Amino acid sequence: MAAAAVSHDAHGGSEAHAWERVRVNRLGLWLFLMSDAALFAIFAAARFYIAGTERDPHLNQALGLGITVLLLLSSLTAFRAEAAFAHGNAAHGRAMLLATIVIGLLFAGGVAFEWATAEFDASEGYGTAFFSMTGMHAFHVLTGVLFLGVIWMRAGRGEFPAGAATWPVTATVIYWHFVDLVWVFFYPTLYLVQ
Amino acid sequence: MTTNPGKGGEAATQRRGLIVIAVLAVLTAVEYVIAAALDSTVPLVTFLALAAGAKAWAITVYFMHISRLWRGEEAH
Repeated sequence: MAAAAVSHDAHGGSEAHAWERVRVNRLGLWLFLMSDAALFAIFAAARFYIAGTERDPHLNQALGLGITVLLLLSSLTAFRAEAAFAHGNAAHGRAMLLATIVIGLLFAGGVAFEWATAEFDASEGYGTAFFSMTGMHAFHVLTGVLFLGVIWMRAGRGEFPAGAATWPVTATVIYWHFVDLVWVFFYPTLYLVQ
Repeated sequence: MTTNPGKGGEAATQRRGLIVIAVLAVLTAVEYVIAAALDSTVPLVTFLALAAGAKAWAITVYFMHISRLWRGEEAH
């Protein structure tokens, strides 16, 4: 009886310790995201400082809207992946992670296509802002894809079964949503303002 | 509307995600149409800033679960 009570206490203690660790991890992640957001905000401010509200008339608006829709869609698949893991549905979660990776790569491909076909260059004011902002953002997309790939592989090894800790999935998905959040501001800043 | 994907059934959570993404898609479409239709810079920039702010709020609250920073809803 006493042993069972001790075991129960030990279990409760380890639960509390795990909860506290996630709390600290979450705070650390948000502090990182806020510092990263400051960097993106500086890029956006520089766009208006260098080029005012002008935008290049040769911008591919259809492509800009298309990759924006893609990134929004990837936020949905990432959300679905997180929800599936939280409910112990690892198979669906893995499928949604893979969908997010594929959509993320399509987005990066769209940006690469835009870079290759752009009728303006980095020596112009708007071009400087466009290439630096989309370049920095695409770098974050690619690192996000890398993180998602790692989580996808870990899930394939059965590391996130029902009832297990899913913080690594949640953290990666939050990072992915942050990448989408940045584009929510970058899209109008680069493509729509005039 | 709860922001925790661990609360309620999985189907309910997935439905919530669909609703949020539909709102984001509509706002994006409205941004695009207004930008094409409006020539005046100040009203356009004001509208785009408000729309982006609304979208950012939805993403941070419903997708990034910012409230867990002070509520600590999940164990893992």
